[in-house]
Formats: sequence, structure tokens, C-alpha cells
Amino acid sequence: MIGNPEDMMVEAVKRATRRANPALEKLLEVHLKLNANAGFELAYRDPKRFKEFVNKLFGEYSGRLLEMLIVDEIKRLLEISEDLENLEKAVEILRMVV
Amino acid sequence: MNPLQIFAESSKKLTPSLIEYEVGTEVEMIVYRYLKEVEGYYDDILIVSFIDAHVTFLEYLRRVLRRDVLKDVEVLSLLSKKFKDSESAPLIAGRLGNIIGERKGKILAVFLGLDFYSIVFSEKALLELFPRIVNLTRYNENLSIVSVFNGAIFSSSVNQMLYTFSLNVIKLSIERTNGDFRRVLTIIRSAFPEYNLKKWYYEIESDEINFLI
Repeated sequence: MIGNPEDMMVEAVKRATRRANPALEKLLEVHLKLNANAGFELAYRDPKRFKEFVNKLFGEYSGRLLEMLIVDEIKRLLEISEDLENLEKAVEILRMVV
Repeated sequence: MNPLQIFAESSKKLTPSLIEYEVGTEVEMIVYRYLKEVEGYYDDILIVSFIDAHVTFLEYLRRVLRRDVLKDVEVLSLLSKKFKDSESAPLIAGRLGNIIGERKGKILAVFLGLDFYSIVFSEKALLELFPRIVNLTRYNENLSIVSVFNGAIFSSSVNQMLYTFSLNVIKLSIERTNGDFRRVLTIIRSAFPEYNLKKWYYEIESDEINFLI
């Protein structure tokens, strides 16, 4: 059970990157560390900026796919079926319910 | 011929085609270069975009190429956040059938965002939709279909279906060698059996794709 919303987001990012390609988890982690001096928690603290870094690394199309996977993992972790169209919306929900 | 030209030539002879990609393979540039290869061959090129997939595709191209491209390509947007239409597979196929059935000449329909559709609405929904997309050729015998899809994130039943229905297939993947990541294009199935299962490493430089053996 993950009680903290930021930890839940970090877990969702890890699960989503592993789903997309396990080799990419480390790559994204290093990219964020080098360019933003941050980890996966950036997805929770500043989702827009997180997406910009992801898009630069993987391209906008794959970036959007990864965003949808992260949102999907958040929905699974929260056990909700609401239509969350983007990461910003997922962060809003996390802040409300966790 | 480079592998993209082989795929392009093969897609003129066989349909449907599939570009299966993994995250990080810069599939946008592969699709763009493919469209440039075949644009003179088709009378009409249509991007069928699910859940605004074309927006991210064009954003990438604008950022990397620093100009607007594909201005002549028509986009048919389905299930956009602006206009919520039905996700029902028979309704989507019927609508596409009507649009495509009316067209004259050679048509290429490139499907973007079928993977987005599957994440949002379920694999089951995609299993119902994809065979109907393949069947669109019965509305217009001059139709060629290319689907762009990330197979790695879905179950084997989805991948099996995509491979069963696609006659011309390339796969874009990431290979890790000696701690380095390299992009790979593999021709899985094509009209040219001598190239099947051959792979090429590739690098993207500006708007060019350099293929390395």
C-alpha cells in the first residue's frame, strides 16, 4: 500500500516505463538527473516539465504514449475508472484522494 | 534500396502494412520519411488519428524539422478530446468505410494512435476494431493501409492479431549493446522474401535517417 501521492506517482512512472521497455527506465532516470537534477518525482511536482523532458528523450509520440501508460497505472493503483486525459489531471486526482 | 524504401515498395504491393515500434525509436521520423517515399504514388494520403495522436506526431516533426510539413495530408481525427465521438468499433469502421468508399484513385490511410485507443478503451476494444480496419479495403480496392502501433505494451493476443492481419511488417526496436542503446529496424515480413528478418541499425540526424548494416 502506497500512502503518499508523490510515491504513488513515482511507482506509476516506474511501472509504465517497465511496461514500455524495461531498458528505458534507467535511461529516463539518468536523463532527468542530468538535465533537471530530478528523479521520477518530477512527474508529480511539475508534470508539464516532466513531459517536456520525456518528449525530448523519446519524441512527442512516444512521450504521449508513456504519459497515457502512467495515467493508466495511476488509475490501477487508485482502483478508479475515471477518464483522466493527461498527467496534470492525474496529479490533481492524486492530490484529492491520497 | 534502404530498408524504408523496401518497406515502401512492399506496401504498394501488399496491404495492410504495420510499423511496430518501441518507445524511443523516433517512429515519427520513420513515418515521415515513409510518407515522403510514397507521396507521389498515391492520389490521396489520409492520416486517421485516434485520440489526437496526429497532434504529437506533427509536434515532433515541427520541433525537429523546424518547419511545418505534411500540409497536403488530410487528417481524420477520431475520439479527439475536442469532439467526443463514439468508441464503438462498428460505428468507427462504418464512418471510415463511408469516407474511404467515396474516394477515387489510389489512397493511403495511415492509422495513428490505435495503441492510444487500446490503452484508453481496452485491448478487447482494439481486438474488435482492428479486423474492421483491415476490412476497409472492401470499400475501396485502391486503398492501402499502414498502422503504426506499439506492440510491446500489449498482450500476446493483440500482437498475434496484428501480425496475423498484416502482410507487410517492420519492427522498430531498441537494442542494448555494450552499455549503449541503438535503434534497430527489422523487416519482419514483406513482398521481398530475401529481405525478411534482416535488420539495420539506424541513426537520426536532422531530417535524415542513416541506416547502418
